[in-house]
Amino acid sequence: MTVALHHKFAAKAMGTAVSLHIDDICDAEIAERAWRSVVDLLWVIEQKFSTFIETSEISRISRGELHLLDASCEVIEVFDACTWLEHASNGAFRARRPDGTLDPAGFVKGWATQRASRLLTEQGLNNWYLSVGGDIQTSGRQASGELWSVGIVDPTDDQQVRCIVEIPEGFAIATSGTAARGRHIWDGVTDQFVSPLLSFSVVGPDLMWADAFATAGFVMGSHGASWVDGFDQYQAIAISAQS
Amino acid sequence: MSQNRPSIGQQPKPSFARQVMPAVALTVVGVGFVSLLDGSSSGSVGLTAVATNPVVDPNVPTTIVADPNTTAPVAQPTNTTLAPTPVAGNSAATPVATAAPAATAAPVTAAPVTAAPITAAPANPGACDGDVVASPSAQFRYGVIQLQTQFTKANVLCNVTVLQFPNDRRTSVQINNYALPIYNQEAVQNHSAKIRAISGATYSWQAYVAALQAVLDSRP
Repeated sequence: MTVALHHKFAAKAMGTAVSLHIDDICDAEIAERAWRSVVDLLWVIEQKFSTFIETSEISRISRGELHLLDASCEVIEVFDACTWLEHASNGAFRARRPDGTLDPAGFVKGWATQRASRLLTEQGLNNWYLSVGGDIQTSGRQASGELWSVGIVDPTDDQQVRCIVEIPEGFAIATSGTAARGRHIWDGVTDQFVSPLLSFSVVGPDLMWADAFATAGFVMGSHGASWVDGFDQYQAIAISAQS
Repeated sequence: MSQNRPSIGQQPKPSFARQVMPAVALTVVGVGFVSLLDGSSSGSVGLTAVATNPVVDPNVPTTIVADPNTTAPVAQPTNTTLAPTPVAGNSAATPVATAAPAATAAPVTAAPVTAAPITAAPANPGACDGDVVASPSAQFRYGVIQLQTQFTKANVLCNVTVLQFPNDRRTSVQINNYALPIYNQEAVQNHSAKIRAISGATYSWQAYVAALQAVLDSRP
């Protein structure tokens, strides 16, 4: 029984890095259990959605072995949301690659993180943040009483911070860009991997939408920020190449 | 002896007043609540009404005290403001009074504990003499900001200066409740400690290990 104020965990999941920082005064075992439940859930979701796993539902749907309507409710929920986003973003957001294969990865990460963060709330934790590959859902505040402050990585050098954002209580931040994995975002309208921006972050109450808006807004480029502004409580921070 | 202690079978009936008292008390409570709700008073006053009620009848408080107790955790913020009010009800003052310190206790203990890590946080292994990076302008809702950042040799952010900042930011913040506190302080020493998480485009695991998030994870 070791009660502590800060609990930090990090692991690899969903092909990226997952961090959980808890600033509640609680037993280490409770924090540990919460962390394990998060990792387990992310693993389960990855098994369903990864395009890199042969047996995942997404892979089976892409190969024509499984009809979308026979998929699990989570898969249907994700594609439901993706379809709405495709319309709302006028095609800038797409859950299909140019060759037609399904790839909802632009949505799943934020969606999965938000689901995982729900587990933390259910287990009674109030002050924490959960980061999955730089997409962050926060809850409450830091132990010091300050808001969680998140540094946005310099798109040209991921070891440096460009600016710092204080996240309102319970809000999330997601960033899209070309930085880390090469140009992994394609434009649904022109079928090209192009954006005048280097990075595009969205802050809002729900990580799944913040993540999706960041993906779409990045593709939209210069008018992405004003598009995001159209959604209540969501805000964008764009970093462009020209200075 | 037998006169002092009546046998179980023939226990004397309680007086009429005692029999009716619970019903009367509960009715008073109900009527009190209804009248309070009818009036323009807030819910917190309702609690004081319950609190003063036991003074009317000292026999019943066991049932009535249960009421403020169950509502206490829900109405924590109102309780703290209530605490000074029930000066009148002596017996009833206790449940409210015990609830109030419990609510305030948590922040009070939390504050000193946090003070330590914050001052201990500047685990800067080196002086602030690493790379200086003048960023291109970052565009956000209220204008353009441009920063100059400096890192220690261990890549800990140690200095951020603002090269460019929109002047109308303050008024903009007041207009919009959800305006983000995006900022950079001239105050150097606490800056790296201020950042608690890193957001960026999806990292590969290898890139991540080198990234700031790993530094943040590894800090005590």
